[in-house]
Amino acid sequence: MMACLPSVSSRRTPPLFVDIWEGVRSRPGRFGLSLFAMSIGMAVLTTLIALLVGLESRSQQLSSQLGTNVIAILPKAQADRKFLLTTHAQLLRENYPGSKVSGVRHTTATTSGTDRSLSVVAVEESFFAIRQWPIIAGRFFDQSDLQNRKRYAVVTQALLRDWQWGVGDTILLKNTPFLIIGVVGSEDSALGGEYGDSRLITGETAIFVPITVASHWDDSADGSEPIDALYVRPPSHVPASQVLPGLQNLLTQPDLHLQALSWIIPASLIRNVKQMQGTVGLTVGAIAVLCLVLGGTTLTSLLVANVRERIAEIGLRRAMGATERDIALLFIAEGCAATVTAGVLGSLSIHLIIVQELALLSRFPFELGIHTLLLPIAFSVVLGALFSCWPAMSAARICPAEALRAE
Amino acid sequence: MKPILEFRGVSRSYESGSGTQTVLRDVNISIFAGEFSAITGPSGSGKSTFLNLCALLDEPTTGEIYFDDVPTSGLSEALLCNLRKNAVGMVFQQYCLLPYRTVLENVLFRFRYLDMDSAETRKLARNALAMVGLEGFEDRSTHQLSGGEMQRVGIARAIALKPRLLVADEPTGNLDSAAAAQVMRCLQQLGEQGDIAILLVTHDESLLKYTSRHLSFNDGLLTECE
Repeated sequence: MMACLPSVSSRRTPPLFVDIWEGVRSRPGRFGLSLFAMSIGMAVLTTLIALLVGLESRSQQLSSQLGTNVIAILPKAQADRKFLLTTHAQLLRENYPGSKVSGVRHTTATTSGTDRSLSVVAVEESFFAIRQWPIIAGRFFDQSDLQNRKRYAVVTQALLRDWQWGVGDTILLKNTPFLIIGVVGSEDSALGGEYGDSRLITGETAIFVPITVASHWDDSADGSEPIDALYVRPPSHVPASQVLPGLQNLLTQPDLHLQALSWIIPASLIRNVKQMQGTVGLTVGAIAVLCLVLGGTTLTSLLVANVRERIAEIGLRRAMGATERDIALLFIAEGCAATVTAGVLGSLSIHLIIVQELALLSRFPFELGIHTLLLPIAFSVVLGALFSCWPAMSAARICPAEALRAE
Repeated sequence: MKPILEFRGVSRSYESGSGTQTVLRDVNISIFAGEFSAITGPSGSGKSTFLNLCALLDEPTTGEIYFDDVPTSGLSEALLCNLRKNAVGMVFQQYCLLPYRTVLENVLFRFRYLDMDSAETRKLARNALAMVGLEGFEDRSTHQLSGGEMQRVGIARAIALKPRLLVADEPTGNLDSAAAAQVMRCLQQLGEQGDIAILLVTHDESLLKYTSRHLSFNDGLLTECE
């Protein structure tokens, strides 16, 4: 007799795939419907993950682009060019002798032989040290260049590549010759876009000139030496957040009329991104949850219908020796097959859409990677198990004798 | 000789809206290897309930069922399932074949919950098909089979593992007389091998000529007919 009772642990893993495939092909419409519903949810979930990870990367990118310990100060009203002046930069330099300070002024100019407009950024000699951009060739401006109002230019690497310029070449900006003395590697195009203020962008194709030259050379100048922004880098051992209150007190004195200033430090940039992450997480997350719950309940109701239609099959399986666990596992596996397929389809479709770089999506910092592929699939396994749990349990609890009577 | 299956004072009751309904009353019987028993009786007399208890798909309300002298009430669900898949074969009135599988795959389904080498199971399945006269039908779809052939596939599936007990619930209920005779001869040959006990539920008393023992149910009471 005991020969008929092999040990329970001797069972191998059941060939579930055959059973799942049979379940799918026997009810393709029903499987397709739950697949469709779940795919939408998975696509939204993939979008959410890509967006949240993208924003996280962006916050790190912004922090490194602005500089880990840099304060940017700019007027809130972008049109008011005479609001911030070079004298304010001087005031900061006098009060914070250990800090590096640079005023920045943006303009555009055309160069000879082309109508293409170039971004010209007038800066002080400390600007490159503040932003910590690497010098690729030549040198930056020094104090004597600014004092002597040298018509020197430092260009970005991208501009050098596009225009085939080199150190020692002379270029014409508004018909004024400028000698290229250095090439800088600057890649901060994302910074201004993220903060929503073009004054923070120097761009990958900018020409830097001494600010003392610009105040006379730029037609819009009238001697008051207005600037668009101020950059301050405190000494390395003093965090920007510690210096910030003092700077704010200094520049917002009533006689300076500088109350309407934006104060940007890496922490504030990151805070903006985190706020955006929170908003995106809440809105897209709510949509994802809604879609997934709808998809999940569709799956549950379809599995319940499946169980009702397959009572005889359940009886047969029980008669062949299937345990309650085997029956539950079968329906959970079928549910997971639907959700995992939906996870793969939803995730891949979003990858394809994002890779196509649609104009509509270009404003959002999506970041694709293994996480946007694997996380939705892993999540789909959990959802599949969760939403098929109840039908699976009810199938497992069907009395085999009753099930065979349904035959 | 020890019985394969023994019922001692077995009753089975169900709770329903109108109270407790007793379907089987104090059944005492021993089933031995080599016996081909026919179970007859009117509808609702307890035949199918008895068969489910024999196949270990149900549990008695009172009394004890012994399988090879082991009381089954003390067995866990896992052990009962193991006993069911190793020692009991079932044949159904509606054949219960899986529509998307071939004849051979349907017979192989007998091994679905067993840990056996696939080459060995294929060999056993082919042998079972040969025993029921369906050699060469392995790759056919079940849709291409007649009712009698489908039932023989059902029998092949039930006997593929050489069960100690084969229970058949009206296996000829949907067949014409020729096909029914074919199925009954098939079961008779199995019974004659001597190492298997067959329990057959039927309404058709003309089939009794194939069987070696006749049991009759009436209102839950089992009587042995001569």
